[in-house]
Amino acid sequence: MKKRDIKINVPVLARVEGEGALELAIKQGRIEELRLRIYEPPRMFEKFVEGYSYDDLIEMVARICGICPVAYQMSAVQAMEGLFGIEPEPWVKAMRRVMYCGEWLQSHSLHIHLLAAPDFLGFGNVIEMAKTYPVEVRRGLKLQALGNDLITLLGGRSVHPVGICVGGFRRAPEVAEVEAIVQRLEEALPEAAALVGWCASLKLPEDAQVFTSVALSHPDEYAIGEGRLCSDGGLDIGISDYEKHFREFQEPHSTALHAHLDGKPYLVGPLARLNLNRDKLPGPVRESLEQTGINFPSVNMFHSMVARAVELHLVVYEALRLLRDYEPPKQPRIEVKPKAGITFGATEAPRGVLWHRYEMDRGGLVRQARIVPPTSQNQARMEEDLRNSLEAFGLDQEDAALQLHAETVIRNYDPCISCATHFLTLDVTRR
Amino acid sequence: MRLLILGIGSPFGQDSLGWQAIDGLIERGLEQRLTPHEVLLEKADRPGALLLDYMRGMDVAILIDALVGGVDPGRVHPLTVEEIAQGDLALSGHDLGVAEALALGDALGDLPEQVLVLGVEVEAPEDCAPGGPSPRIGSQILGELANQILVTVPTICAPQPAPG
Repeated sequence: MKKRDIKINVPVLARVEGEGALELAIKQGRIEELRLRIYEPPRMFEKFVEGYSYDDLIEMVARICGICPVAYQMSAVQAMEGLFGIEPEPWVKAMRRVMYCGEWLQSHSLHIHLLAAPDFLGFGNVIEMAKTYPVEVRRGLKLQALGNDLITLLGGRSVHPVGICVGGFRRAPEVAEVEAIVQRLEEALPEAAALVGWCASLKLPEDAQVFTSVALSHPDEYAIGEGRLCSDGGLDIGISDYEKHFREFQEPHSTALHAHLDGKPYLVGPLARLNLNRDKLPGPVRESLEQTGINFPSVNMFHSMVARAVELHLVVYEALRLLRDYEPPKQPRIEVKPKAGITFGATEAPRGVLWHRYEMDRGGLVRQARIVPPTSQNQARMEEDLRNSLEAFGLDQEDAALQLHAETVIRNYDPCISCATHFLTLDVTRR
Repeated sequence: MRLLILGIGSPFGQDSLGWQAIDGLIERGLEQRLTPHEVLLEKADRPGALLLDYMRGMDVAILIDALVGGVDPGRVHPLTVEEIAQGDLALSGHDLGVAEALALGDALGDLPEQVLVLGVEVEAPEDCAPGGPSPRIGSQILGELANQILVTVPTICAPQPAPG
């Protein structure tokens, strides 16, 4: 049978955060060209922050993303405190983890229920899905709201929060505010545990691939707010050594930089984290994972969905653990004296490692900034995955099926193009 | 009847009109004029899907939001859920707006019995000077919003005649 030449264009990818496109050209049964085109304009945030103070910086970087502002604030505050010689108080550390748990909870819940699940249940979008699966969609909305409220508890508001500052928090929540949210976390815990089983029961495609997982790892906990940069290929470095091993580069088709680890694409995000750090899961969360019967580390990229659910269970568990015996501190923050120098911050945003580098002057003003978000790190891996996954799926499939499969592959990464543009629309050509 | 009047927007620019409307309606004593209904006047900052949370437990929801119409800035457009949810819906966390949230609520069967959107037409964003002051909502628009609500509420809150 003669092989078709195909060209598929998806000019605007749906159910991803931000704007991007996919162009795919297949010639005589082989992929000739595959581009994940990120065309959202560059955001220039690294230049915007120059000349602003360390305090302004924390407020400004939150504006990079409406879904993961906390991550930007946490990487930046870590960098500033590292430079100024501040070790956050235990209360501050605990509450920052709680706030970060809130962001993972809202982001993961949004992605699982509203963006990804329709792909695996055969619906075009969550509105169609809601008619058949109202209970599940309501669960997603409820968990998302709880995540938002955790962020608000400590940040004053859920989008672009303002509570975190260099040295601690601007305000400590009252006991009564915490008690109200603890009760909701107690109610959400069994739902979060059940969600792991629900995600594992979805018809996720079998798609084994070879890739390198990269995540922060911490000796005492499932890394969120701090850790060393590790990979399943033996990388184990401090965050200040990032530039020695990772290289960002421009591709003409993308306003987001691509990134390689030692010359190759790599994966960041929930699957990479679970592959590397599953031994740090608390007992009940590890049990919910074991009950799925899925073995991790996993090389099936679609197990990202299960990893995201496991992490959702983790963050509900962790927020509850850290808030159950809450006591307000004597003071929520300590005084800060700026210092000049070069400093680094890296935390785990919902979508993966978020690395920052700053050069600060003596007055505490930013001289230079570099911000490497997870979606740009995953971009090269997404293109590699698309190539492998589409070939495994079968390039002789109908255009519509190819397009849906490609979009499912991309959405599986939960890409945040707005963050990375510093990017989705499929364009398939068959010749 | 539990009645929610919700201003949707954000603190800045033309998007603040929904919020300003709530302040203005409170000042005009709208709550008292709607007795005996239990009236809640609130503001929401770009709530996304969480708009459904605001409306939970309500019998009637009236949503006030700025809209770009390209016809007549300042005009108040009364819109139904069907009218507002019929366009191309953007479904991502960043883009999930009032139309998408209402369509989702409708699919879930979670909307109040009556939902009315009062869209206050504003100039297209490209016609606005960036960084300029937020336009203040005029008394004429406030008056029209109050009138729409006062005329609509008795109609939609009136006891339905028994069937047969």
